[in-house]
Amino acid sequence: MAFDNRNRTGNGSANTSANRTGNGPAPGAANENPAAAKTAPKPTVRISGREPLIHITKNASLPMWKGFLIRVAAVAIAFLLCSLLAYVFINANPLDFFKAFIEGNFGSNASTAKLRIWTLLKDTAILLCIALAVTPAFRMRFWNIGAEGQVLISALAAVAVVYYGQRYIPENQEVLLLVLMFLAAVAAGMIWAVIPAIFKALWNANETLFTLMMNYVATFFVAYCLVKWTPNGSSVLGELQRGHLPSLFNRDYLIFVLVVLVTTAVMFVYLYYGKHGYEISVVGESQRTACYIGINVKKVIVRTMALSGALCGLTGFTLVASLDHSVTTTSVGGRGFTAIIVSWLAKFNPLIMIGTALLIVFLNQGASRLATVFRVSFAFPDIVVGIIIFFIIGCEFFIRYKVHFRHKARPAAKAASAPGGSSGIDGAGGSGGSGSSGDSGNGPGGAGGSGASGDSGIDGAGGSGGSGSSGDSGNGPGGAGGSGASGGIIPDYDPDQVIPDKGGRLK
Amino acid sequence: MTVLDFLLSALAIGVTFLYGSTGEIITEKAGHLNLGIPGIMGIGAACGCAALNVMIPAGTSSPALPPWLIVIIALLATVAGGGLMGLLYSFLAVTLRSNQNVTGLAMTIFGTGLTKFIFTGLESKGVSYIKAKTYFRFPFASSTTALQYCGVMVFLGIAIAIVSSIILTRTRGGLHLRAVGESPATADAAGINVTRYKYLATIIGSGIAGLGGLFYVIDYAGSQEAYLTVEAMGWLSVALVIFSLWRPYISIFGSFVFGALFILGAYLPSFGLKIDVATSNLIKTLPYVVTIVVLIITSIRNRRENQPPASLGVSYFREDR
Repeated sequence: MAFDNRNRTGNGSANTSANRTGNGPAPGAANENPAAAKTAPKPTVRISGREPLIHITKNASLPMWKGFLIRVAAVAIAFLLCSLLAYVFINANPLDFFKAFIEGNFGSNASTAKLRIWTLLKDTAILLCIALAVTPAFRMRFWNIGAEGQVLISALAAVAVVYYGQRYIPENQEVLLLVLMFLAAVAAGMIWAVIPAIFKALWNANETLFTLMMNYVATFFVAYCLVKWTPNGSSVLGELQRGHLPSLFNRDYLIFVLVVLVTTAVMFVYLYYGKHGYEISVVGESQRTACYIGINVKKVIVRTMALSGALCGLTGFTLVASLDHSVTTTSVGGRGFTAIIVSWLAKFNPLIMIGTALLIVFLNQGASRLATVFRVSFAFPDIVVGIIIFFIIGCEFFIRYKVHFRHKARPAAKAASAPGGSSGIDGAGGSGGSGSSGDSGNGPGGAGGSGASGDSGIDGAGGSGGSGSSGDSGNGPGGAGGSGASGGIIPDYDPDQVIPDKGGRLK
Repeated sequence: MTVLDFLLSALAIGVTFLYGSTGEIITEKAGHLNLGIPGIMGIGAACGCAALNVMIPAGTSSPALPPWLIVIIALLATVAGGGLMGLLYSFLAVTLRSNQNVTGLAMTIFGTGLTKFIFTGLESKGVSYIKAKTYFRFPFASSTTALQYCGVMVFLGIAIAIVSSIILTRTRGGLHLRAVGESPATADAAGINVTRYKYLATIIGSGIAGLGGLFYVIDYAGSQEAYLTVEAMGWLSVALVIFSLWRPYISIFGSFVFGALFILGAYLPSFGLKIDVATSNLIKTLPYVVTIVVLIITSIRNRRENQPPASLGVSYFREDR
């Protein structure tokens, strides 16, 4: 401990590197730990020369507003990039680019405005509903990418009820028909979701690939039914005359928008304040812990996927009963996959999902408008959405990690509006330039008496080899202590911190 | 002869899946579940066709370059296109440690969008698909039976699968790659450069997968419209990876089975079985159902050598504990 103090005071009083090499390590190595001084220096000098240029550490506690700012900055940069690309490739000047986004979502005059805003709401509601459906499974780290198929099969079930049932149910019993449609859709979605869940629960079958395959089984099954149901073989079912949801205030889908809003709130409470939600989170964090505290993991997996499927069923039912009144193989149109991204962007928080769903739909509508105005491919929205998603995915890194460069502990994410990092460079700021050695004092101090002798060997080497290594060696124990403490109290649910569960089967 | 035709067609369409699955196996062996394969295959096809458009625009009778050079340049352009997508994926998933499922899906959304964009751009200028097709179906281009599908790219695909299999199981580099996929922390401790292997595997794998897209559009289908169905081919390739238990040499056999199941509906009538259009749609689910069955069987048997790489889908951060 004496050594630590000397090292630190030496630095504090005189901030030159010459002073440091002369003062800090020499007495420590000679007096306190002669054995280490003889053996340790050589290898550590070699290591000090190889210190990586960039050092990445976990960023345990970034204030929420900073994370938000980074994300906004990422979207803004992506947006600018897209406008640049649009300028280069489709010759759209930036002003027109942004105008298209406004017009695409809010219309150019009063009459189109109403229509477009309603379309925006409707599409957001659909996407949000599917995103809500996949969320419980994702919080459990059950990578259900089969929402596409689950929605499609439930839409098919709803159509089937109308197709076969309209002969038996009289015209004035529309409510009965709707109830039957709803039940059939929910049941179909649940069945489609529970099949992979059962195999996951019993034999740990890979759910990502299983649910992916189920999508295609659903698609071709719909194709099969469509051919069966259309006598002329056109596979185009046309609009169903029965089984329409009533419209509120002349808006066919207002009732659906309201239902989705209520579902969002219910889902939020269910996941964050309910016992089930807690169980889902525990199973997601660690199946072994869940077993240990007496959660029936298999039951939770199947139950959660049933809920997922039921919500997909709700979406499928609405697609048929209030929007399309029909079904095709492309009824869902990739929204099952987009919803996964919506859910992930919101960190699986149903309330934030409203915003992310709105963002994706906003981008889609705007880019579609752009494609129409500039007569470019109908695929243009996918490119814009893709680029912006890439940026959002990329910026998560700067929220979850801190980047330190060699010598200067400066966060790399300066471009993304300088996230965090301020706590990381405190030591450097205090000692003004000799930041690395400032850290080296911190490290052993934090590690305590017994650890100090081991560290002193490294420090001594660092002094002779270069200031860089001593900074790092000090950081090691100090940083480890810090992150260890924060590991105990996880401030927020971090869905990406995937812990591979090697256990596989749970008995 | 219909049986032979059927088998040869199955082999040919199977090679599309073979390219995709070989690329995906290499990527997954490094611990990366790249769900962007459908987008990557599309981009590969688009880049190849764009290169062909430069070399043999529609309406030209005899292009300036010799056919073999045209084919090679097109292949290189395809590999470059696929590789660039792989680089993008690796940057996000390896360096920025993003969620692999989300990144992959975003790659597919972006990739299929860009593919359609490029192909609609090409539509106005066009590629002389007839000419390109004959170059790619090199030795059997003049054949009238299904033998015509079995050109150089079919053999190239099988060769790549065999070579990948040998590299993965018989060389030091392959051993390192598998170590990275099974336990990156252990590999890192053993002195293997995890990041480099992950990058290389993903980029090479994506380049190979891109070839599958080009093969499907130019060689097998030989028409512009085929780009719309490349995405489905990509998902089938991902399915084939499971079917072949992460081994390229099983994937050669598996691709043939998938190809046969894929075109079975179209060939059943000529075998004397009367089926309607509806049933042929039902038959198209077979490759997926078979994959599910294989997935279930392998997970029930739970043999260690038939499992996916242990760290599949998990980002590696050295300081994680």
